[in-house]
Amino acid sequence: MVSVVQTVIAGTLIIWFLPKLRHANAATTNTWVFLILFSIATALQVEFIYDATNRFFGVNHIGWLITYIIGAIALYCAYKALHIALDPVVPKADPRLYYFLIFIILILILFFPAITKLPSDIDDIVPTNWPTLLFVVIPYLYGITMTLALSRTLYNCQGTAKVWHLRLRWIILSVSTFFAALYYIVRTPYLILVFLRPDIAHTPAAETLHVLLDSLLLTRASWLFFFVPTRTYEIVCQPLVLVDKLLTLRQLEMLKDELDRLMPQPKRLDIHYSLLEKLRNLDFLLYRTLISLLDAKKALKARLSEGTFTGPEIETRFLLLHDKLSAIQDDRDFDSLLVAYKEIAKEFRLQPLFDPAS
Amino acid sequence: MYVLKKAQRIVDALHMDFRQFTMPQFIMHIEQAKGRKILLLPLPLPLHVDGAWVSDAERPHEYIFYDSNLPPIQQIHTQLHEVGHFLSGHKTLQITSENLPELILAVRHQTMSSTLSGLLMRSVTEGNAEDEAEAEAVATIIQSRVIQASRIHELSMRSSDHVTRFLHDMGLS
Repeated sequence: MVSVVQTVIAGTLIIWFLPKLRHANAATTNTWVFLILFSIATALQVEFIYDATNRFFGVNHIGWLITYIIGAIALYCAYKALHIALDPVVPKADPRLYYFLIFIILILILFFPAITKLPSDIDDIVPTNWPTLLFVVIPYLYGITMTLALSRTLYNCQGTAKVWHLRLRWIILSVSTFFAALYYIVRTPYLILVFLRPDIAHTPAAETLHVLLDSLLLTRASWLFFFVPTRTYEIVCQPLVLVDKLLTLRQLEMLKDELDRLMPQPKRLDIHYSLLEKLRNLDFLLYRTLISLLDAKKALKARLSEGTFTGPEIETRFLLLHDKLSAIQDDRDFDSLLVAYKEIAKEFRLQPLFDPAS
Repeated sequence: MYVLKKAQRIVDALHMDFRQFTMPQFIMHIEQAKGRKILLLPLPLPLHVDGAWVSDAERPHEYIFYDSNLPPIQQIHTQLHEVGHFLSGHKTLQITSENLPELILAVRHQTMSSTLSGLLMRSVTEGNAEDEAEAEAVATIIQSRVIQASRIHELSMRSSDHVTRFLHDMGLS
């Protein structure tokens, strides 16, 4: 059933992306190739397609081999797509993973003579001989490597995401990839154990583990949420965004107040808002506060260049603050600037640079 | 609050659709509404000056200088502030096409001894506080409308987030 759902969703996504491919970059093309291969791999897991494939080739269980090979390439394409998206300076994925992919495909092809000896139940395989065990375990090892590598890449992605909805998208994908990795990690020793000690397969502990593995199998399918349009994520993240913006505004205002206190500025236009109005105009207030901070930063630079200080102590303090603010590159987009100044504001709050009594 | 109300009336009179806002498109809209060509000129200005507005006495041209050393977000803010002076009908320095190059050179090399640039800088730094508040109010109202129209990215530098671009390419943004 999961295979049917995944095939349908992946197939729908392929149709959806098709017109966009004309202007696609390398990352998008790789994602698309991943989707095609993944949908083929999952389609082959659907029982009647699996049987039809076997009949078509006239080899029992050939569907397995094809699924594994296509699945391995699909996973590689997914990794490559994300790698390019995250770090366009390095256009190729890790070459070691590429060699590993070739190795897996070769191993699987070498297994071809033994393929007819594999069990027929594709959903609940318990290896009874060495070829079966290796046939199952080797792609799982590939799965572990790729999903762990992907998890790391995805974790980095969410770290670089500056907006909540983007971060949530990456978190969902990281979590589902983590569950996929966990599935492989738990299932591999379990299969080896069951192979070595077939009697434990029917113990309550093994049965519980089996249920757990089935749930992991379902959970890892949550990667499909990655393809939900941004608007949906924005709606889900709305409360988080609101709280985050309120906190950011408060921190930036504190930094601005501190700067104003130390170095009084000709006031920009002061508009007083009620809490409700503040909530309605958060972006605007953040923008205006940021502009005020940039003004103060420039004024501070001017003061330093003029050397109009009242004493060496004050000068040192001004210099310290100037150094901290100068470390921020201001030729960035709005969200990046907010993050950068928020960090300074936090640091400021934790370690006040100025003693109000002085 | 009177200043803000006045600024609102000035911005309303432009009949601008802020859902389509981009800075060049906004400038073009004002040019059409006021029948004056607006030229935005980046120049390295002294530290205490962000921008200045000068009017052409001979041709229907308005010159807006802004500090090229400012970050993009502040450059756009300065441009809007100077546009605010123009829209509010404030008085400014009138120059001729003959002394424009002289003014630019003087400002660029910060040779304040030049009579024209000296006049310009005095008009900027010793500017009327009421005029400044009005210009700032107009800029504020414009910014507020732009942000309400979800066009905040037009007031700063565009995001260069590769991941965002990737999602955009995939049609997920």
